[in-house]
Amino acid sequence: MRLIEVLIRRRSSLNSFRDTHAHQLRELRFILHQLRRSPLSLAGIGIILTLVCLAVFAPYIAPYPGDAFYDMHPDKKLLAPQKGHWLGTDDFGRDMLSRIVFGTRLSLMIGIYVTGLAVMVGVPLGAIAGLSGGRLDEVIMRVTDIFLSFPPLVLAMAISAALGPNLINAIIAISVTWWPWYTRIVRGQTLSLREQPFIEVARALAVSKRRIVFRHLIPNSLAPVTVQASLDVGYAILWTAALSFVGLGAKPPVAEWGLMIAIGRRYLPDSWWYATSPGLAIMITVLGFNLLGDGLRDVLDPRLRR
Amino acid sequence: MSHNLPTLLQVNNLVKDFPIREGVFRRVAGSLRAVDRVTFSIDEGETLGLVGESGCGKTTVGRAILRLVEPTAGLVIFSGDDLLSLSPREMDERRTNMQVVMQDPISSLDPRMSIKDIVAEPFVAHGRLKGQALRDRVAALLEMVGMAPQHLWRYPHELSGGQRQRINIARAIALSPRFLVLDEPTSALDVSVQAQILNLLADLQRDMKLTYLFISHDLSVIKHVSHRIAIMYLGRVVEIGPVDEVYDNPAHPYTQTLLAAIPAIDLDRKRKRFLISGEMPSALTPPPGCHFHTRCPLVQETCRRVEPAKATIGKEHSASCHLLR
Repeated sequence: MRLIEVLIRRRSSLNSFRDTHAHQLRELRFILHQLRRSPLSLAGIGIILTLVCLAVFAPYIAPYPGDAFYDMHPDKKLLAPQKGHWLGTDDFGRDMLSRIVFGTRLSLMIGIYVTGLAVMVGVPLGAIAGLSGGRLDEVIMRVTDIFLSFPPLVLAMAISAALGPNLINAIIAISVTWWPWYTRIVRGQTLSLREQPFIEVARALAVSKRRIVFRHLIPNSLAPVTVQASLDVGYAILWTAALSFVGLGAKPPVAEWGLMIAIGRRYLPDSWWYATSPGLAIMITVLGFNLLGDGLRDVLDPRLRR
Repeated sequence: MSHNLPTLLQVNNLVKDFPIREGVFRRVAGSLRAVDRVTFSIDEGETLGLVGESGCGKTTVGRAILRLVEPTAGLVIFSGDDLLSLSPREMDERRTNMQVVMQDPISSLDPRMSIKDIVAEPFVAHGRLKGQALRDRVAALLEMVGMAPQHLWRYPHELSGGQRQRINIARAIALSPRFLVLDEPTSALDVSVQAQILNLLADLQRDMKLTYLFISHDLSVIKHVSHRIAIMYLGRVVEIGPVDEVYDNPAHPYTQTLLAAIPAIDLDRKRKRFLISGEMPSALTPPPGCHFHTRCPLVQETCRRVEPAKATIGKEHSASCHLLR
């Protein structure tokens, strides 16, 4: 009896969720429908879903989970790809496949952290700049110009080196070079939005600036931000790998793709699989996010709609 | 209209200049006077119709009163408060008493918010109501404007034009204001829907004792809703008076031409027929003297040089024209 009651209650709460969010559900279904018609973005989604599965179930998928951490097998050093070690082994005899699978975890996390931090800083700043105009706008936009005028990788290297090279600092360093792009996108959106009557009505209602920014301006400028963010996850992974490659990111024995390439480079061309497999992993990941980003742009850009 | 009601809003010599910026450095090169010493008052419970061609500054008057644009000069007294001398925070406290309904019903509604969130916003923004009480109040407001509760979870783009304007009205009256600026609230709507919205506004005015500033270019709508009307031309009020007086006995040549232009099935009309040609001059280079002299059929030499003073025609009825001296 109790069970049935619980089930009924759950069903009715599901129904009321359907009612109250009918519009969002419809929108979501429309987006999925549009994405389904574009094979390339489907491929992107497929790649990303595969990577997410790899990341989540890494301990079960990797043939030698310990190899991603502190296990070493000096007797199996630098084996070429073969049965049992499909991608070969590295200079400590660790299974490359296992390390790459665990590297997926790290890379996705990095991508999401960097993009998340950049969005959280850049989007509100852009909305505030666009809404207030005047001196505050000038200050915010000139600061973003300063950041944008540096070659971003050089700036990230400098910051990472100054903070002390480790993975967390590399994430922070790249986020610091990244937020200005979001500030610019959102400011542009806000400039056109703030002339909209619904913003003026909100001002007439004495809605606070903060609420105007977070309830009106940001939700209405999210479409281009979503596209940019999905592209950026891929680039953030690439850049963090680059920082690790030059020794300003992850430290051994962390299974990080960029670091694996950096060490594997020393064993080229004889142990070609060492640098090649993490390189391919990075390439496929970045490609996946790029395809998704392009697909989302087509779906979310109203000018291209229907 | 009885005349013993207290004045709710007094506008004296309201001026709004928009700077004109030029060149790379956005230097202020001049200014555009959108509103030129506009003076009028509105009594409690009254509707003042503000009429004029597009571009004459009538919308700017409404926005300047609410300080959605900051007036350049003048005096706005609302219920005893000098609005223009208030700090933004003090002004925000008074905003609950004065609201606006804009011309375009769809762009006045945030496309990402449900109807419930839109109508609830005034309460949430002022931290007035929460939870069930808020939901009840929103449902009650929807009912007041003639909408069913099932619209609560809809989004603006799912409604018709008339329904959208009802939502705009519901939001405007949410905090029980005393004064509404209605900026062409019906001009984007079909004629049949216009009538419904006008009736709704009339009902609300009666029930909630609202005072309206009704801005429109549609003379037949204005005649229907207003107690008194003010005619604007190129930033200035050229004539103001009780609606019947002005319609029966227009004093200013511009008012006469406007009224003559109302399409009407009136085979033996007695009105003098004036026709004016040309466009309203640019507000960037307003003509000297009387602004209307470039198009006035009765233009005289003085009109080109001297700005006409206000002449009293009847009780509460005045116009600015040299011919009335």
